[in-house]
Amino acid sequence: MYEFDYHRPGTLDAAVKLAGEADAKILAGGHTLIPTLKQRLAAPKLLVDLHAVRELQGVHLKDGQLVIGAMTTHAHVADSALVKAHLPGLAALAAGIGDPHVRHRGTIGGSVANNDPAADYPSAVLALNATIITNKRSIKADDFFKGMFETALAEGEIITHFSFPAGIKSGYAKFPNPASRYALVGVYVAQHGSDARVAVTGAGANGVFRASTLEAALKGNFSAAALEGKSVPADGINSDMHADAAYRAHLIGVMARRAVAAAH
Amino acid sequence: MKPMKFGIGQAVRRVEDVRLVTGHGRYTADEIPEGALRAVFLRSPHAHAAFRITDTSAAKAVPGVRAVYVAADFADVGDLPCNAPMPDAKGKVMPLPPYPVLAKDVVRHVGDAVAMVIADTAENAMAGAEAIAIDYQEKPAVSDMHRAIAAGAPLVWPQFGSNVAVAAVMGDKAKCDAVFASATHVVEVEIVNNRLVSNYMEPRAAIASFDAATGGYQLISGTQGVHNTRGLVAKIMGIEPEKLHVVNHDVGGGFGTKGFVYREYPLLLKAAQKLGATIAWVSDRSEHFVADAHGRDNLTKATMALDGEGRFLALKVDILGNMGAYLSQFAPYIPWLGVTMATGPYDISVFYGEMRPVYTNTVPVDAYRGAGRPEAAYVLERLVDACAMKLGLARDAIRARNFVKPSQMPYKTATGRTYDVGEFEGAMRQALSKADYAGFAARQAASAAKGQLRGIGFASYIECTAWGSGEEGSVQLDEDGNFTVLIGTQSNGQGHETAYAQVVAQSLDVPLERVRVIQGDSQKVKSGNGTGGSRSIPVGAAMLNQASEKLAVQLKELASDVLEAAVSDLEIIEGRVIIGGTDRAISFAEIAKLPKATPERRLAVASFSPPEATYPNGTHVCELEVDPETGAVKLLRYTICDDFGMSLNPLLLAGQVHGGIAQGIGQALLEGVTYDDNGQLLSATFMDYCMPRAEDLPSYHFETRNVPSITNPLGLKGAGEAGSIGSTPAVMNALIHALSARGVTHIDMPATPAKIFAALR
Repeated sequence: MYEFDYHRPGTLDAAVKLAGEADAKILAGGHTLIPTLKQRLAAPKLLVDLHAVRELQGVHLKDGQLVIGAMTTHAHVADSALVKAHLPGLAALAAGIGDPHVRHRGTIGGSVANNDPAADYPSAVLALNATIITNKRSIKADDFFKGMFETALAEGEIITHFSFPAGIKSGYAKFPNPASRYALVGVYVAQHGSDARVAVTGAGANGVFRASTLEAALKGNFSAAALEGKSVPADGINSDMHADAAYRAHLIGVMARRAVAAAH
Repeated sequence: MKPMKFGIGQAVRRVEDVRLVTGHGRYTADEIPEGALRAVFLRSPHAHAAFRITDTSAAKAVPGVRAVYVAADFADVGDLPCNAPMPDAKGKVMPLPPYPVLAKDVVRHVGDAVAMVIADTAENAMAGAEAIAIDYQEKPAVSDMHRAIAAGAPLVWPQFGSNVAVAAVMGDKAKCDAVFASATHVVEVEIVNNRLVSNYMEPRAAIASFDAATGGYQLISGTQGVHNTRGLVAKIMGIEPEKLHVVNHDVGGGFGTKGFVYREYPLLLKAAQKLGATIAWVSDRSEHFVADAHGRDNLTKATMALDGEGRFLALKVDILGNMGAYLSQFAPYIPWLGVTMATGPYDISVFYGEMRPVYTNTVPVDAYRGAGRPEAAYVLERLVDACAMKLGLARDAIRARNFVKPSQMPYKTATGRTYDVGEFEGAMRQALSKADYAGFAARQAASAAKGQLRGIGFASYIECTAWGSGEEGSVQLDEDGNFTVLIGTQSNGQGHETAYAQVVAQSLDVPLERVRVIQGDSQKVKSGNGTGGSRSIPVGAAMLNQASEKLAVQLKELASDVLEAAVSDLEIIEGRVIIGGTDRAISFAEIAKLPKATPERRLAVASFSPPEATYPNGTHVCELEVDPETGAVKLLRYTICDDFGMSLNPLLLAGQVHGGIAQGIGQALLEGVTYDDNGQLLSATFMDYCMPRAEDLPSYHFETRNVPSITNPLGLKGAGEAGSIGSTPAVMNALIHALSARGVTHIDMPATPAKIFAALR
């Protein structure tokens, strides 16, 4: 690890100011950033730890929207009575991220801002058609994810909240990478009226993506049976030492069926 | 043997655990003194490259950096030794490549060390290492053994003209070929024993110092035996062993891998001398992946000749053993050790084996828990299942037909070993019965109803432990009435403090906390051969039992004067010597204070050298389900019936077996080192190298069916490695059984979901 300054601001305003400084990095959980620092692969001058910014934490229901603060931990989302009541699929996803240590430290904002191609949350944000609210603006999920580790966030821009439509039937299923337990393939399905949105993580060469063939199959028939024999083409699917593209493409179909079966 | 409250055979809890689980263990990194300098090693990012260090001045100018050393600074330090070169068929011993403590001119694997930087802090040492100007000219590299032995392959050691180090052979090829030519059936398998990384919890660390006044060196580290370390490091450094004091405190896992001498030890000691300072080095997990020896990595072709009834007539094995770029301490011997156990528990009278060590641009490979025996057992038990399948015989029937029978003991194998005792069919029948092998069909049908493929498989193994050198040690009555054991084996977490105290308690009937076990200090303990090959109990405990019995007699002799009774009338009960049938007694504390209780009379020394190895054996039964949609495997039931001769502590024994099985399951389903074709290590962290987790493992049912060994007075057989030997083939045989319903007959380890799914396609 190289030397850096560490700040733990107590307000969003202070955090935004610090994050705007040269070579500043935001610490929102640290599961990617800290190992990177330890391996001396990054050398920020300044770490801005958001854990003390109270206004970024917590879950509440407002105008039919489930609003989740960016610094809400996975364990909090998993245990939240509000999330369990209004988006049980999202609570189930959070309960399955990493291990207890990860779930008590990692945050939804950190996960989504990092946009790791194997992270769980981006698939939920995309499939649920959530809105990402930052200190500057609101961004629709479809406009937010720009490829592996790339998002619409500008330099120094901080996610403050997520706004999820409440009461949507949804579900998530993942096949974990045996070593890392990140998603080798994770599929989040959500029923929006007679339409469905299906988002896939872990598999796309450009990160999270919507599976249009599966969405079409679920249109008007949100059931596992509707997906029987359906998957996605292997083009654009990741191939690595753990799984080739054909296997991942197959797993997308399997996980999509299991996600629909688990949805409620 | 009389049952004693804390003695042999009691399932007492480990006395060291409160210390270890409450953070009071003393691991090497806990012992770094205030003010010690820190060392880091600059390691090659390339698998094969010529290099030149063009400038170290910037590195030396980094604040806090005290020294930057390269190979030329250690011209007076010798190479790392390989003590097990193998001969070819004509008896010509293989040439040994140099293994310098720092690479000179050429690096041969990712992680090969090129420089050492010493600074006041590890961070400054790292900054210094990054500032070294080094010019690498990459060369073609080879990591895969098939490629390495093909014509035109890049050569790791051009002076040898081949990557094949030697072809060592055993047996009569012509005789074996003749049996094959007339056999009714011939069955062949090609087996991958995947490469593994040890991944002990405590990565290696060392603290080196030098006393200019005496010219003495001290090395504090975590090894598998201070005396072996002392001898080898002293030899590399060109100093007398007496000038080197090696100390081990607690050791957080060894598995064979911590038993070798590594380049860092002599380098740190030499640097301590040059700088007149204490220098510490603590490696991290990433460094462990490229700086510590790997395990396994064999490719084996095995062929069985059978008669019409399924009797094994002859066995042939042809092994390629990946050595990595340099020869680690025992490297070429490890696959050979497997050759010596190739016929396993079966009566196979004709054998021919060939073993070729192969150089590749990868981390050196050496002994890892089981060291050649897991590889051999895996090959044989896969082959036996393949034979059963080909001949249409039941898997238990073909084994029963071919096991060496108890009436054949002692049995001389075609590989030259002598099994003293063993009832292989008995263990197999007991394991299968406990596993409800007969009731499998109903469970399989229940799984099928859920769309799952269920399989059951088993493996009957035999292995060899506690061969070779002996142990000398002592038990002493201290002045405070407690006891001190001095012994030259080394606990790496196995629980020696408990097990050895139990041996003392057997003769002296004291609670375990009154027995202090001293190990891991080359000055306090005169000699020792360390821990490895599951020898600490069958050799160390057997020796210690003799010492304890001897001391009991000596203490009775001291007591007899005071109690005015004949030694034959005296008994030892609860820490006192008592006249049988009376209340007249003297405590050990009182004996220790007697004028006649000289240090010599309070000390009993013993030594024991086993005449032959012990041969633990048994059967593991595994039952699992495969999800055909994803290839995921779930282990459901696991049953073991082992013969360990005698159970010193059933609780510690079960722990050894459980841990070994976790490693075997890891090899079968999860773990595997992956290099790309250019020799880059792809599985270099836990993100890509899959270690077993608790959720991957089933509950085990473990029981023993002991047949005492006749090679040591306690009847013991080594148990430290057996779990890793029986498990790998049991899991894979169960997996193939599950998949066979879909026509799959072979799959290589690690059988990941991706591989299983591909096989099902």
